[in-house]
Amino acid sequence: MISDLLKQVVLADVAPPPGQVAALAVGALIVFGVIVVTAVIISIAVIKAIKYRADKDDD
Amino acid sequence: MSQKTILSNIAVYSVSHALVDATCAGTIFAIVALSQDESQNLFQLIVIYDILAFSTQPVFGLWVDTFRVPVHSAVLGILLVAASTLFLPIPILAASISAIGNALFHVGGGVISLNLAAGRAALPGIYVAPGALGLMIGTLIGKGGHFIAWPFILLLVGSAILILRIPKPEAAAPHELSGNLKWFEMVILLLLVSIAIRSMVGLSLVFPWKSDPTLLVALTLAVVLGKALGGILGDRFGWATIAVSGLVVSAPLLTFFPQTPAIAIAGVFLFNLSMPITLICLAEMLPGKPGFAFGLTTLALIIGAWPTFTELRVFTSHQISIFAAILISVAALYVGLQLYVSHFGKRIPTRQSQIQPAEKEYSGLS
Repeated sequence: MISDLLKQVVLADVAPPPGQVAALAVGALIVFGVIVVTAVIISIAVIKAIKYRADKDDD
Repeated sequence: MSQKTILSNIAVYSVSHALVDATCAGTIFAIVALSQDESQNLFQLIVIYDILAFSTQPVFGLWVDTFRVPVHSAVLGILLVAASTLFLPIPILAASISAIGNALFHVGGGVISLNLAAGRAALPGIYVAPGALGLMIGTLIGKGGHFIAWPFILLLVGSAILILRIPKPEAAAPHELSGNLKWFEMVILLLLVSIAIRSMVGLSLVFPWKSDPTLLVALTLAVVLGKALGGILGDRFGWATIAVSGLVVSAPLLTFFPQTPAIAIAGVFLFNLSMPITLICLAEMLPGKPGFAFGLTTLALIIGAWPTFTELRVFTSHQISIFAAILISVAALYVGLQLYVSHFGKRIPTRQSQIQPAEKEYSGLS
């Protein structure tokens, strides 16, 4: 969805030179890593908790 | 739940979805139009927007599930998106507010659509589908330099008022998760892998003819119809039948004929059929956690999008990579759905399934 904006903006209309894109991406990817990894960790913990509860109910 | 409640909710939330996505796209492209010489910051801004809008939804979903506040979440999201249009001179603030608002609305509306007809894919598909249309309209307005905040604010406030006035659907009574729990994580993982790969492929495809406005509209309608019909057809003919066959047929169309608009558009339609089916299957795996289930799908979307943000895009957009990726997605979806049917799927629609008495009222809709 909105990711499509990224493609259109970055790769078409206001694209910096390819080398610069790589350098630019580093900062954004660090933010990406921190937020996304946190969301993944929380999600795994919640899924494990749901399974644990279902397991307990079965018993 | 009455038909009136179902119809009014799905209509209002679907139109609001298009409006929210149109405003977000319009806001982002208005920022682009205002700051044409700052491509470096814009790149980071848009990546941050994507991350905030997509990866925060599991957490917002948990909040909505815990406190049972999908309507509040949707309304707050709409108001934040409306407010974001007032902060265009401060791009990072406008993008962040817009992204958080977008995430809150999506989760709230997603929970409502899942609650309207528990265990059915049609309504979540109809709710999600108009987003692509809104995105296209917002993008065209923003890119054309025609973005004006107040009409969007008025429409958004109007939709928030409508959401507060329509009858609220009852939260679906959470069914107990029963089955062989040994396969619990595996089913969820396979469904999410399928979604992530679909996201990567969707962002890696290049359609050179997209600059033609007529073809762009046709492409967008293919996305909208694919998502909307995927759920309806899946409920009628079986989730696995529709989702897997749609993806399988789309693989050669998208891989080998991206330059031919008619074939590629048909491929995009088939490619999108599986979206509501993966969503409802995840929601069924996580009873009582529809918001979290909805959020997991968007988290998978952003993870799948990650390679396309980097130089790996050269690899992911290669013809063979696209073909292989779709086939891996097919395999993950097929195995995931089969495991679900075998171990958890008491309510899964198949070709042979009969409509339960309690669902007759809903089935009269389709």
